Amino acid sequence: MNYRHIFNILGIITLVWATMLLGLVFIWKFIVPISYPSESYTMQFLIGIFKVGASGTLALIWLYLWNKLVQIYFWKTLKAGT
Amino acid sequence: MISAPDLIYAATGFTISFIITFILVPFLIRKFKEKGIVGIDVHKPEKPEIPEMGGLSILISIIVSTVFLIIVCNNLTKFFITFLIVVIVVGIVGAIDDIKPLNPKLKPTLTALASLPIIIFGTYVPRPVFPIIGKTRLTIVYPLLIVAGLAVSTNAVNMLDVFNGSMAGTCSILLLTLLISSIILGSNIGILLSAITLGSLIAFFYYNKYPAKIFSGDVGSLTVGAAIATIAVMGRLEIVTVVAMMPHIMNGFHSLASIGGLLERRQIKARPTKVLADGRLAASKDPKAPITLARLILAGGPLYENEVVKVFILLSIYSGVLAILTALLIAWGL
Repeated sequence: MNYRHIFNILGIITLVWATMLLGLVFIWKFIVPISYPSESYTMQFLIGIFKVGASGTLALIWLYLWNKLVQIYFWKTLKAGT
Repeated sequence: MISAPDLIYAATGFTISFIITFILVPFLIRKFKEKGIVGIDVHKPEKPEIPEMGGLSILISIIVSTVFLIIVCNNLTKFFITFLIVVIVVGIVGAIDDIKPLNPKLKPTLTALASLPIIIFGTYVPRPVFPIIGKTRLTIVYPLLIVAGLAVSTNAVNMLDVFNGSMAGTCSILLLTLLISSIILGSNIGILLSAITLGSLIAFFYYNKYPAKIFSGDVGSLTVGAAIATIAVMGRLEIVTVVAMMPHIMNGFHSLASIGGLLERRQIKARPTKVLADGRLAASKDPKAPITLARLILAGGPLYENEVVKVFILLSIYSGVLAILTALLIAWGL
């Protein structure tokens, strides 16, 4: 069994876990508190949309990078084995 | 708040579901062989025929032990009835899929709709607790997350049910993680429901481990996935479950990302793995094949089927440790 390879997969899991927690903290500390000094309902609604959009975009970027990392690692390992 | 009777009920529920599954599986093996309800074990060179739909024993044992919990724990009846309805509905969807394969888009839709009892009965708290952040308020988004979460969980568990003992082994570790996390976070619903599902799965693993005497079928994998998602929501273990499910999520996510959408296993022409002449499994070099967790593991070199399952279980144990660490971070208020 290729233990080094399994250790690398465990490393990917650890990285994904750590970045997920960091991402959550980032969203909570920097995106959720965003406000605009206006009582207007439309403005509040737009800010709400912006917060959801920004958080969603960050989550998508995170998923894209995770997928890219696994793809690059997979093909590199497969080619190294042949 | 966890009380001593809750722990006794959890232990009794665990024992009931374990015994029912343990007794029921040999009976199902005989019956399914007689009726010809069998599947081919494609990862073995001799391609043996193995009885399918053994997950029916998991569904039956979960139903019986949940009824036991309804009788003994009067204060949580609403939660147990919700759990029962969700698991039965998803189990029926799985059984139908085993008999006549459903459309690959219809299956997740039906499993997502099975989450509606949780929303209708209001057996959820839309304030998930995260480590470092603490309590959050997701009043509007949370019900949508329940629907998506159930579809993701059921299908992620189903997608990892590819080798002998892979689903039962990894999900047993996952449920043990949820049980320990429930104790850490003081979730009595989590303890009771994890214990009964774990009891059933450990007994099933005995027959499903390499070389398998029975397959769980979709009735088993979808039932277990639904049970896990419902425990996560009602037991307030959302983030812990996501972390503990990392191998399942990785398998499903990278498979779907590499083939570009929802496809039924039978529809994917390029297989992710191949069986070598010596019985070992190797990663396919076909660029069109999905990057499943098994293919990722096998990229490091060919392995026997039981070795791949051992790596699955190792990854589940590691994810379980990270999940328990997450639960501790929440409990310590960090």
